[in-house]
Amino acid sequence: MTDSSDISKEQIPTAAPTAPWVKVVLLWLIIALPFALFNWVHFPRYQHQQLRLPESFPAYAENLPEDYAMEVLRQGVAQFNPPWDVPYLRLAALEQRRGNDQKAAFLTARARWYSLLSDTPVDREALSILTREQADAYIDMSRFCGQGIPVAAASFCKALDLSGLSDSWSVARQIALFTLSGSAVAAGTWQCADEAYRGLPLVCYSGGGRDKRRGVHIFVGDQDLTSRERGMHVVFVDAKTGTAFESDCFDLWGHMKEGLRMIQVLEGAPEGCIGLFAVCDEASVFMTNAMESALLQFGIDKTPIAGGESHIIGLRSSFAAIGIKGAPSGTALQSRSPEYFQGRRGHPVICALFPVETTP
Amino acid sequence: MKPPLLYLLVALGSFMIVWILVPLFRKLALYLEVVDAPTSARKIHSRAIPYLGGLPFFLAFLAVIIGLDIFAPRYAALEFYPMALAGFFIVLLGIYDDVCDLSSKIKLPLELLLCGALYYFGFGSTIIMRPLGGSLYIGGFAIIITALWIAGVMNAVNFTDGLDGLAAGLVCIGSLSLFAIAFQGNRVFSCILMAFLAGSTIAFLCYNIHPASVFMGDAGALFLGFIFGASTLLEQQKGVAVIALTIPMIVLTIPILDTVLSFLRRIGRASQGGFFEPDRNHLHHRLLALGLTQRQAVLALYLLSAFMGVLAFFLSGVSSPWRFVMLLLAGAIIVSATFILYYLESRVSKKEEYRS
Repeated sequence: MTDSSDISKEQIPTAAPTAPWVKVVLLWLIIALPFALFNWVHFPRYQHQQLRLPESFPAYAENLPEDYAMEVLRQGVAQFNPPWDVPYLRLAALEQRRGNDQKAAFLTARARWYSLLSDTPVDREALSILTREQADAYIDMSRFCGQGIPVAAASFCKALDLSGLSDSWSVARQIALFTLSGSAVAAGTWQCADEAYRGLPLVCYSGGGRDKRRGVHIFVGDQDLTSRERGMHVVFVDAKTGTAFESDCFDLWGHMKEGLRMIQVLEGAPEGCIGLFAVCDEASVFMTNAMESALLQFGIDKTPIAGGESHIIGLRSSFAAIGIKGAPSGTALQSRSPEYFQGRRGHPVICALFPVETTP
Repeated sequence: MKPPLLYLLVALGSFMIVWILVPLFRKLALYLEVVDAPTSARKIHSRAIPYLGGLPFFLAFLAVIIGLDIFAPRYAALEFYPMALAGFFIVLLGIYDDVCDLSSKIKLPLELLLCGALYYFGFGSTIIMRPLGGSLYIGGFAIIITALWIAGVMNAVNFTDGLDGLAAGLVCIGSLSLFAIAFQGNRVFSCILMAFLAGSTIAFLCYNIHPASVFMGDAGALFLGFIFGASTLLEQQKGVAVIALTIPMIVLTIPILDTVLSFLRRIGRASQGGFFEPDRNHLHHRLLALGLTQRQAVLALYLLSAFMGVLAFFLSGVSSPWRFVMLLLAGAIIVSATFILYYLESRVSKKEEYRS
């Protein structure tokens, strides 16, 4: 090892001795200038990207022309089902301006619903009145929905610390409760089926939200085919008879092998059968691309999230879907509620399909 | 643009930028006399070598992001900006250290602060995998894991920067291994970052292979380690697929092992107030003490690192229980290698005693 006196000076050109802090400042400036230039070019893009985040779509829509703003708000509401009144109010105002009074009224009701839910304490009377106002549209449907809706409504209220609220309500009001909170309810006609559904009523309820207490139900007729186990609950139903022939639960939070098993089960399901899916607690940790692809066979849609990648983003929160195996993507009944949106906690959701006779 | 072509362009672009800029920064370092003089026993080189060779890494990173913005905007991840921002402050910190020799007492908390801040930009996961399968929800504790992991990798890379070409070579091998793993899993953003690391370190090695004409300095080593550490957390926040940190840990076995051993040594002398004092007992120092030349020592560590990279590649494809078994195997290899090193050292010292 050499001593400091051995240092070869040939590499060091003559330069005026400079204080270390001067060198530091000079070098910092040399790095800061390109970084400033980088910010000038990239920062506006970064801000734009941030606005395209799921939680930012209402803010993003604010800066757009009316047509685009409406499209962004429609997509945002459909994809993310935000438990926050602001996007619904903004969309309602735009729909009103276009003369879509019915849509505007429903969106205003949804905004009111979320506004009431975020109050402390929650005004139970006001919630009851709101569901009563919306119930008329579901009276015919309620005659054929079986035991699924009342049980799911009771679980929904319990999850939001509103136990007992829906017990005395009519089934039509209970359906209104779910539609106000963005759930997917259909009767008979269904865009991915060749013919109208005439089987037993199907109800998938997902408590989700990283909270096992919120539970899960998959009703085929009056029979609940789920336990309260964590993960993705799957039931297969014959599309013609409406009878369930397989049910299973896959703990995608806990084990990779569960995901592999789920792929096998989904791949093995016959073409044309109806798949019912509901998440209990959490089902995204071991969700790989292959598992997502297996789910997509049932017409479930992916959602693009910031960064350009698409995922079935509901799997870490409340997520329920009903789809036919082999149907094109985006045709399944599908609903979700985020774990959190702008600091507000999401809520349980349902997907329900009732037989054709119930069509109003 | 198809992803494989994009990765190639990112690697080539960063290679070109670093390759062009390093000689310029070398001249600047010589002009400003920002050089590493062999003034202590820890230094291996025999003449003053200019620092600042690592600054082009940062500039190349900025250029890659701008390039993505222009030519492939859908692959410009939202997380790249926080990385550039934190990277900027890390480079400033590194420059100060290169010029004024900043104490670890100040440097380490600042590093932890900068790395921990990334948690709020979505780096890190609130769910970690258990070695025997299953996962564990850790909630807000994730911020500590994020800070410790990134700062740990930064310092691990910095510690290995003691021989010509060692730090850059190990990062290059590690990034190629992780690139292969990320490519297999179709993780685009990780692939982009690993292609950047590989391209820029290969370019730097053109000037840094023994005998080195330039050093990357703390600014370069900390930045490389930062990008490496942060990129391994990048895809975890998507929530649909958690990458276990075991894979990058295996890829970075050499730097991490060196850091752990250094930490243990420092604890041993902490009572004498020497915890923050550097020493001459890093792995590369010890290999040299065994009689290996610089080239041989660097090559040996390259080979070991490449072996661990291949192991990590196979490990990434196995299920949790087998992963645990392979982790045990990797641990056994590391412990055996450490004991062999101790054994060889004791033999050499006995020989020297006998001679004296």
